[in-house]
Amino acid sequence: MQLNKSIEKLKIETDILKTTLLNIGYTSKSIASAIDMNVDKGDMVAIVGVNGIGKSTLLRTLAGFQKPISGSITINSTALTGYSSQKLATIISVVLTEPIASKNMTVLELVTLGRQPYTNWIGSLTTKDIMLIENTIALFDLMELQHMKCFELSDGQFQRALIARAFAQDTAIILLDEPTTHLDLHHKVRILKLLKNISKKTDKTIIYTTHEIEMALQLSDKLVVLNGTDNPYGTPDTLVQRGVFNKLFPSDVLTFDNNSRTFQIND
Amino acid sequence: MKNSKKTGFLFIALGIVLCVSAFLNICYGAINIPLSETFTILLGTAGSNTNAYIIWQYRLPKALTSVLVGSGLSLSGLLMQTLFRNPLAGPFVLGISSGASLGVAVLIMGSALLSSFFTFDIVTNLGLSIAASLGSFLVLWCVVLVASYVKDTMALLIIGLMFGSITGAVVGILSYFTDSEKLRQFIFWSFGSVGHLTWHQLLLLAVCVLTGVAISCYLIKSLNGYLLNENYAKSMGVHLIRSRYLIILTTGILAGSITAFAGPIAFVGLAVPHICRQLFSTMDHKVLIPAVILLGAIVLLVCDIAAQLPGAASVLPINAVTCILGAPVVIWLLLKDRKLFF
Repeated sequence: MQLNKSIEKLKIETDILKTTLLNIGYTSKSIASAIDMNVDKGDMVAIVGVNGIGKSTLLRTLAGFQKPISGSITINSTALTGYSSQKLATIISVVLTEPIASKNMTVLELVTLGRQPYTNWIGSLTTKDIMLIENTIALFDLMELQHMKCFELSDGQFQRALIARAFAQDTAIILLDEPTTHLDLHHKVRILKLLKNISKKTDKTIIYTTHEIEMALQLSDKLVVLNGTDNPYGTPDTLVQRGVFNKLFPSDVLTFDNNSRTFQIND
Repeated sequence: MKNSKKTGFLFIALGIVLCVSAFLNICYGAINIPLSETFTILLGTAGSNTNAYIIWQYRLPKALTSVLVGSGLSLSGLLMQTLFRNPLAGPFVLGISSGASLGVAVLIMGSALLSSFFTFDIVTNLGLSIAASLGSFLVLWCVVLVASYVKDTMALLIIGLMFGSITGAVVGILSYFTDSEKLRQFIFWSFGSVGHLTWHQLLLLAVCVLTGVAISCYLIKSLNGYLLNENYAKSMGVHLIRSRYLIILTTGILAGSITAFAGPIAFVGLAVPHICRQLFSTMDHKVLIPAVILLGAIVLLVCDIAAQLPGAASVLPINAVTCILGAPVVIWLLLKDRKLFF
């Protein structure tokens, strides 16, 4: 009992991001409530759920783009609201679904923008910045694409470039909103494996929303399942054992097979 | 790194073209002054008294005004295009020029109605400048007020256009009830002019434009953040509200002061940023800000040379020349690349 308690205490200290009784949405309308997450450093966490349940809202709330209705978000044991936007930019980076305003920049320019929180007032790059940018370009397999303009890239390549920009921001947490939409199966898997690799190799915490529940179960360390009621959070194993996915979709359309961890279409 | 070499070369080239076009602008005019004499007068030595007077009191201020007006308008156009993420935005999208028009229209046409109260003529150059600044700052103040309520930048753009429509309509009503002499005076103001500025007015304009340039340089990183979108910018540490106000204010100072002194000069602010993006093949504001300043100055100097009808004392309206010379350039750029890069 004593040991358990001290393990628990130790665990809290390694939590990089923690939400308690988080209630998200807009002042007029709550979208999802009672979200409790404690994310460890280096974890890859998927946010899943049906359309309109609040996946993106949760991500936007974690990024600080919108305020929670109630509950708390802490990062490294400090409230999210306690960070200045300048400081937060060195802790959280984002990859969003919203289109970017200008695709008339090269991949290199896009990735370089990720260094903004660290550069001086005019944006000059130090040798450290340049080295980090070069490493990022290499890590994301963008060497051949780096001088191409963003509008010349395929969806998969562009997504990779956007993630590279977030990576170049060198933050402990990377938040991604549906990084795999509009991609074919091969590129979906490629992006998710890339993220998994990053989280393991560089100890970065990755939180992403996705519709690919089956893939998320295979590749994520933890999942938040937004189901409109208790919004469970845990490892794939515990969630499957608790039968969380069986109730996610109407049973006359889909059933979840606990052994293969896949959804079956009902006749 | 090949790119930075090209950028450096382009900047040197633009610098040379700027010097040459400024010199030609000073040489060229209704009265023929030989190149060598212009040069000696500018150096402060020799030269006949009349010619020296023409150059020091008329042509040099006119050339400097062109430089300030061209760079200021181009810079504010760049700021607006980046803020609104819209390639069609220009320095006047927030209704600044229509505000200035309203101020001037009220002064010119309203003074006719109230002429019995005034024993002196208030429709002077200075009076026009004051009326135009008051008008543009009235509209700008409304826009800033609205900006604090509206979170969406696109909505702000549309509201700016609506303000423009309202002030335009008021100007229309005033024109309808005014006599032809006053109307003519107003139309002449709306043609724009870079001449007729005294050294004092020029100094005031220079202070406004340089203030705008200074704030823009401070905004370089925020502007680059806006190239992605507002949420990305925020995630990279850009203070969204503060930078938005600063961008609007800077545009107001630049476009407002320029319109006050030189009238509503169209086109330059819209086109020059596009030409610079194509020329330098970059979106980085660290390059684009000095680039639009240089190219904007060159464009207006060249247009002002072209406005000077050879051998005649009369000058074409600068507003018409900027459009006639500039629009084909933008069309050519579009045809060349079949796409407007933004």
